[in-house]
Amino acid sequence: MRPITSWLGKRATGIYAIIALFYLMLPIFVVIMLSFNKPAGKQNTQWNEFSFDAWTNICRDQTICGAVTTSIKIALLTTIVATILGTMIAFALVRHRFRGRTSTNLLIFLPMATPEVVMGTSLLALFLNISVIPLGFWTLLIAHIMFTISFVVVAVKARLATLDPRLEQAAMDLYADEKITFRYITFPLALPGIAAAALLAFSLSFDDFIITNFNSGTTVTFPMYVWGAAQRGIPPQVNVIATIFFMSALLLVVIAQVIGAKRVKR
Amino acid sequence: MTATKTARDIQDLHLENLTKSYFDNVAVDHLTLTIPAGKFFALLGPSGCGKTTTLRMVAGLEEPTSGTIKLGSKDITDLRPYERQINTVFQSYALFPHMDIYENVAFGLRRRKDTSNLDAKVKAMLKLVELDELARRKPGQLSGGQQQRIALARAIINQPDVLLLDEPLGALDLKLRRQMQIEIKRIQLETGITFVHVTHDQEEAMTMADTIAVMNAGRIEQMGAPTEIYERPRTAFVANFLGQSNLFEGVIQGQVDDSTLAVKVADQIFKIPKSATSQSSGRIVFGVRPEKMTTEDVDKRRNEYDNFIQGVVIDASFTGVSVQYLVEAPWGQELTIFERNVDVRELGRRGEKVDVLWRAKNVFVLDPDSDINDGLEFLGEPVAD
Repeated sequence: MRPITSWLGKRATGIYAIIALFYLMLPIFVVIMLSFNKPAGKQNTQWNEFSFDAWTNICRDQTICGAVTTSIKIALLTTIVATILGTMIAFALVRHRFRGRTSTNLLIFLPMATPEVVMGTSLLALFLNISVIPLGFWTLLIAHIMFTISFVVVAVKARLATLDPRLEQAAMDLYADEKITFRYITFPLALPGIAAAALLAFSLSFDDFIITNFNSGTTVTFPMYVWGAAQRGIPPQVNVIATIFFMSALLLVVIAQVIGAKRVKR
Repeated sequence: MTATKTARDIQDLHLENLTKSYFDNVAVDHLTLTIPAGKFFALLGPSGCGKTTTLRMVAGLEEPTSGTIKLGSKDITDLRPYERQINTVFQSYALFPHMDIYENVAFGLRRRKDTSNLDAKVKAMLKLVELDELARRKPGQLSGGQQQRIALARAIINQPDVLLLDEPLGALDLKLRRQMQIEIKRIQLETGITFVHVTHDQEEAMTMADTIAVMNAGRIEQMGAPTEIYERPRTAFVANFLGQSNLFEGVIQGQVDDSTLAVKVADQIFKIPKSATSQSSGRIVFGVRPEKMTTEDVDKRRNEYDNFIQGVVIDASFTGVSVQYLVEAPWGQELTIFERNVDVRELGRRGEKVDVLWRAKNVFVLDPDSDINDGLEFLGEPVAD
């Protein structure tokens, strides 16, 4: 009895970690595995036969690649605009004291706290009422920027809060004017926060279904395509695209880690 | 090696009626001060006395409410920090964490586009602080003492007219502090730059500075060479903050002889030198440093000293180099005596009656309106703030 418990005691953390990782990774593994499947029927849910068919012919039907392109376009534009605006808001909130600062801090949280269905329908009502812009790409872009900004602000704010203002004072003391100080000190130090915020904005936008579904008009994004395809049977190409995105994210993380490790070494 | 600045390069720093208030709170109160060029100047005071605020105003990091700051004849009050030939060593060092040591040190020269011989200058500076082998490390990989020296190098490489040091040794342990004090003093002598050192550590100020200004509640209490303000403090605050003092309040009774005054404290008459004061009558406040007093068996050596108090030992503690006595005077006042550990008599016991003796020449006289308890609240203040 004794040896077994002590054996377990020594390895409990390791075993727990393996179980937890397995739990987290299993769905992703299934997605990747099924991207190499040649489904027997329309549904790609049962393992049938290994094949590269889906990988060699991703754009089997034009709509899937069109949807992916639309999603990437919206996500990229959203990321750029939301990151710039959100970063500026975060700087204003952390670095300046002004009237309404506290309420702004609170209001920034609202879009994150509001249920997406509520926001989706409200935006739809808004767009229908102004009717300047027809529902479609541009309404989606506006909606995505709106709901991602809060996340950017929160992420960048967290980074800025840890940034010692004395570093900027030291730079100014060492003959750097405001612009140079921002370029050489503030911005590089805030960059990890801004980059994290941008990645978050991209994935939130790329992934969004609820708000998008209300405000898309005839535009089809990738999540909407998957949703639609689910009725008829999801083709393995969806798994291929999911796998590609997963791998790209993984690659980014690995690159970031390697760069980080190199920096520490130097 | 860095070129030493010649005297004509550097000019005196003048603060004129400098005031900084935050709402109702006056941090610095009409401060007027001249800091001589090329000297090591210490601003000494308890935390919250306005010394750091003064320093930050000189650096340009804080805007004065009123008053002017001049470097020589040039008014620099409204210049931005980067427009002043003044650099700062921050209390927290404020090294740029994303740049290596080399780039941290080169930062100021690069900003001023002064890049001729940059590499040689940076390397010479790193050598000066004896950290040339760490050029490619990041600040986070250095110890506190090393970071401190890099902060110093980063400021001095710019050959400023004035170098401001804001409690630069506050975060270091005692041994390292002593070592850095000598180091900083050496660098000051080598570069000839005016150093303005802000500290609450009186020992640090006395070992390093040519001139000390003792600051209290936004004002300068007294300014002078370390020995001068230690031996001849003018206010109770200085007497109590800079070292320890036994202060007495008395009334002048008249002259004993041409050079000595008689002063009555409680029921006893004490002799003080006439040269120590311009007063000839009225209330007088005088003091004696604890190390200038000695204890003796009652009535044994009174004739060898000018003054004595017969008191009762409250406490005696042996510290190795000295014995610290706490003796109660007949009128209830507690006296502190540091007796050197030479030919010392047997350690006094609590309750024992002793004579406390001192010579008249060791008496200093304070301003007549001094409150003898002024500055006592800072005794035993913790080192870092």
